Amino acid sequence: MIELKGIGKVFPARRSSEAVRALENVNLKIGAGEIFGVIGRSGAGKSTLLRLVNGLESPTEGSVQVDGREISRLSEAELRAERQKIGMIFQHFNLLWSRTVWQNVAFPLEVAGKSKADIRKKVDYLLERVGLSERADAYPAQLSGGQKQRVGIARALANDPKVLLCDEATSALDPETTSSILQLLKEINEEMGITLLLITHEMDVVQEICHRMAVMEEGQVIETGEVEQLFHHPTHPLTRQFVHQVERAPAESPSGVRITCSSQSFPQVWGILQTAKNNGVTVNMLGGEVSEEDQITFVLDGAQEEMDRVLHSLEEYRLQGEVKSRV
Amino acid sequence: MFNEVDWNAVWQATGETIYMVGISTFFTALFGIPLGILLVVTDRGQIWENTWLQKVAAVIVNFFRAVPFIVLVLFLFPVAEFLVGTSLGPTAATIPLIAGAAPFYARIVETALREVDKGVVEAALAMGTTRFRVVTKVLLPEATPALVSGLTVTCVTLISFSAMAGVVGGGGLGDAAYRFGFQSFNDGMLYVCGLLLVVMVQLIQWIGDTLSRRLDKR
Repeated sequence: MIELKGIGKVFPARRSSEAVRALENVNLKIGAGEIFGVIGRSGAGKSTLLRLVNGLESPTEGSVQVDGREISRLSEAELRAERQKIGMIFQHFNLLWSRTVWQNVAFPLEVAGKSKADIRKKVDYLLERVGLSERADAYPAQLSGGQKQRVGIARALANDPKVLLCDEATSALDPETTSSILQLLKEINEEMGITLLLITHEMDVVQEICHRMAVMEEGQVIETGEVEQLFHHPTHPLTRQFVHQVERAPAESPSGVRITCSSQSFPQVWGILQTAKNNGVTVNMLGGEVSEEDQITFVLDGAQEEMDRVLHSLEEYRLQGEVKSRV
Repeated sequence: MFNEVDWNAVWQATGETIYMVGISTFFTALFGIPLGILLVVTDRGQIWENTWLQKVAAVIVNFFRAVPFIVLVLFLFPVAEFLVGTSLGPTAATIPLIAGAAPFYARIVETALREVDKGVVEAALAMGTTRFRVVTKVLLPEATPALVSGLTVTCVTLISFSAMAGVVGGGGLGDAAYRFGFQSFNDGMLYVCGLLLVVMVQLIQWIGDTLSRRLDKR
């Protein structure tokens, strides 16, 4: 369904920056109906790779084919038509906040020139499918992260695409919401036979839904294969690191401190925890206790003075809703 | 003090001010919005990148913004005469008002449109939206609250500009305050006209704020 051959991409130098070689000799072949994951650290080139598929970026060299059509050779109008058949969801959802949930899902159908009646039928169906019928008249600002991504998914599916591109689609979500979104993507893949190409830096995402995967580093694909196989026999050191990431899942330490905060104060708490992290404190988000609505729990472990500093900063900011306790 | 106020003259002047500000606000939006869009979409990395055109537009905008308003009025006497047949009266005064305020509003529009999340534009393009519709269906609707509050600021500026334009023959409250108040030693007239201008500004600010808040769904 998607075929990348000998792809190279260089971002030319500009006054403030030197030329960047984002991709180098990338070859990938993704079959119809497959869920394919590309994993890599930020800056590895996976985001550029994803944008080649729907022509948001064009390759400096090599060929990108989707369903047998060479993307870079399409005229502007042909490319627009092709893009309607390639859905895309984003890390930060990218919904129009001036439109309701319903109107957001209707957007791609309006763009495709569908009739009012067709739009109504399709949007109602899609919202039903992603479980958001009741929030149809809400604005994105009134939704939780998981709900926003569901709107994003419904929107991406509006024109019955054959390919769905997922750009770090769960990276802004907590673990529990992530699983429910991944579950939804998996169901959609099975029901509609749609091909999924997703990029992520989280190994558990790949492990949970992907059939095959590729590991990227510095613009190159360093390893490709079945997820199972790479998981058990990673050959490249980076792949091993990603696998390790999953195995070291949240472990609770008896000497640690547990912090519970509301999602509202999360940004500030997260800031404080980042500082602590840099000072050598281990910070784990407790998967089991994160709920979509509110409470997010962290378990910290590290030197006594660092822990005290964290608790002190939390107090200083008078963060509302957070409960702290020594484990 | 107020028994010396010529209320007929006051109401006529108020009408003239509303007329001048109304017309010039309308045309300011009419010219300012497309100009603001042009400044954004032709910029580097934007949907209609054309840095040459962008620079030309920016220079023109800066020129009109740099010239002091009162100089602009004098500058544009011949233009007003050509367009409306006279360089006197409220209609003629709208010409420099528009010339002064449209570039100002264009900059506000530019800022408002740049605030629109780039990710949303990318999402729209990824859905196969034409660039024209990215402007009409994404940029403008997403920026509407900022466009409205910007127009409010511009409208308030226009009220004070119109008072200035009045002095050089445009009529309106500024003219009335100057001629019938200041020059005729009629303090009541001076204060009444000044007060009406203040009331007008307050009213417009209130309407603009309310509208902008209603439209903001963030």
